[in-house]
Amino acid sequence: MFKNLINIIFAFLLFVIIIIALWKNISNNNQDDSVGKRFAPPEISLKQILPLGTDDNGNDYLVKFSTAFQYNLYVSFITTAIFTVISIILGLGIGFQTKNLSKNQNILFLNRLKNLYFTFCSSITDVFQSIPILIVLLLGVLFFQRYLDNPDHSLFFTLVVVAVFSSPKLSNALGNHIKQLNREEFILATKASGVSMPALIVKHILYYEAKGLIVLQFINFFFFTIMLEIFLGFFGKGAGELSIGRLIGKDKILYGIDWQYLPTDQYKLILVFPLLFVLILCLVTRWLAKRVMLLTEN
Amino acid sequence: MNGKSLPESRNNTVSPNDMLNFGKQTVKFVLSVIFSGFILYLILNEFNEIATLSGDAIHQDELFSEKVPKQGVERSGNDILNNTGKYFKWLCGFITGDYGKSPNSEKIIVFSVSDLANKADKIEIWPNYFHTISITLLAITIAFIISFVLNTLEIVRQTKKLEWIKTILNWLSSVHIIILGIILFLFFRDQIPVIAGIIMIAICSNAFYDLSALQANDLSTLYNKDFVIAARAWGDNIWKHMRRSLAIDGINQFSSVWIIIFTNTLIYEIICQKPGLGFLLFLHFLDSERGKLLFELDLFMTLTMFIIITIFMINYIKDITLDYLLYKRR
Repeated sequence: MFKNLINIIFAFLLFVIIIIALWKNISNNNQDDSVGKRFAPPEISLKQILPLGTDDNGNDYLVKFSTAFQYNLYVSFITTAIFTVISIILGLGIGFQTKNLSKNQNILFLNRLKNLYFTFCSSITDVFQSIPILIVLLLGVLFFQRYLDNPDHSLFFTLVVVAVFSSPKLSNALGNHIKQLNREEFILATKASGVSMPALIVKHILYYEAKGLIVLQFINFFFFTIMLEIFLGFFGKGAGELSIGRLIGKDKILYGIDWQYLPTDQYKLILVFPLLFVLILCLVTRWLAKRVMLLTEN
Repeated sequence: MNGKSLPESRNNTVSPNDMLNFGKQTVKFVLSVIFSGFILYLILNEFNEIATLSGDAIHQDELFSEKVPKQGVERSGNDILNNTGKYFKWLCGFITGDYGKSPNSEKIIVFSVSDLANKADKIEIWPNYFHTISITLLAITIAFIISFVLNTLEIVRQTKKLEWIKTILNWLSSVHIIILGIILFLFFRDQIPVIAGIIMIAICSNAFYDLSALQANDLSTLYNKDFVIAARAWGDNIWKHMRRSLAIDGINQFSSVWIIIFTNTLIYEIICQKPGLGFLLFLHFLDSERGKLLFELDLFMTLTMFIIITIFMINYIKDITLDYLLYKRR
């Protein structure tokens, strides 16, 4: 009963997050429409829905927030897709690596190439694993901000580099999973039943056996990139577009002052909302990851 | 317990193979540090060459102006060779304590300053390094102890009374340190107590959850091993039989979680503006007011080299200890 209640609450919160993400498309306001200036307060409530009121320029705050969140989702989705592809490529190399290849097997050029690929995957994963992501992030920011004039491009490529260096999170787990399947003679049995190698990898390993793992790491990394954008945006190194990091970083001076000096409650709401939203997003992501694990285990 | 105990096999001799293994691990550690430093130096040297075309220092705003072409640096076949030479020269300086100086403030980078009068014109590494490492170790210890107690109660003592604490901590663990750090910093500025920071580092960004899950899995597997079941049936003290496996598992758990906690510490120092390596990185590289200053190659190289050495040192100690536990005492 208690678990069901928690699930219902989190499902509702997930629904609210989705609505917020889509609010820009649902609302009839644009990000730059000065709704607060065009309409007097009584008319706002009648003619337009402004759930979070307006910002200091009179724009619909929820539309603004939704635009920022959509940008975060967009960047995170692309970088997480890159992370997943690289991790799968490396994970397959780690998983299919065989330690004792006889000399006869090594004569063939294709086998040598395969060996090279396996060695490359395991060594590059070791290298990636030994470098803290924060250093990679910092290097990426410094490097791309010097080479690229557009801050959006700079952020994107920085996150791509982070995605590459974070790949061991999935590749190691996937590699170990394949090794486990190999020990259980799952791979041998599938091959014996006449399944081709591409079908074995895509359908039997990645889809039937490892989909839970891949989805779980996808969710985790997706959330991680949102956090990194907030981190960079907070220090003014984030995107040029409107993003959650920029929204939080823009008003950072206001948080330190005594709240009784803030002119209206609307100010307080605008300051607290992004932080509260990201906190809830943390918990919902965790719940979602747990649900995915449960569903795939069953 | 009936006073009897199961025999424990011991062999304390050191074979030539052990010594060879120790030597191999040491060589691996030294080569890994040198190689990682070299790769880093090659990347960082790119910034420096662009920012100091032909040795003339220019500022970043000039760098992006039309007067200075971005592809102005000519590349020759000897570049790698030159950079290799420069790197080893820098490495020799690093080993002897000559870390270079900041091109902007002309401050000399030193390991530590004993004379207080000279502190103002120097950038000290040791106090910041010590702060970061001690906070990381404290956070790991706290996370490890709490997780071990809760898992032991649940798996070995079979009690579910404190399960709710574990559940709450696991949920808190899903909050990322970036957002919690930002919230604390925005409302409390630099008044955040160190103990709050340490707890935040120990729990946030899935650090506690990962450690707890790994520990629960290892402990549960160990508790159901034949020799532990036999010890339980015999009425012997099970901890005596579990301690070697617990130590091996503990080392693996430590090595898998320490990099998350170390990164958490750096993020905490950056966001909450607390002294440490993270704060030095923020002050000299992330601060938005430094956009027009030159890139500080020596400082970045020194800081990252200390971080690299720490990472490989932890791996080195882990490998050596595991070798010792797995082979020597078998």
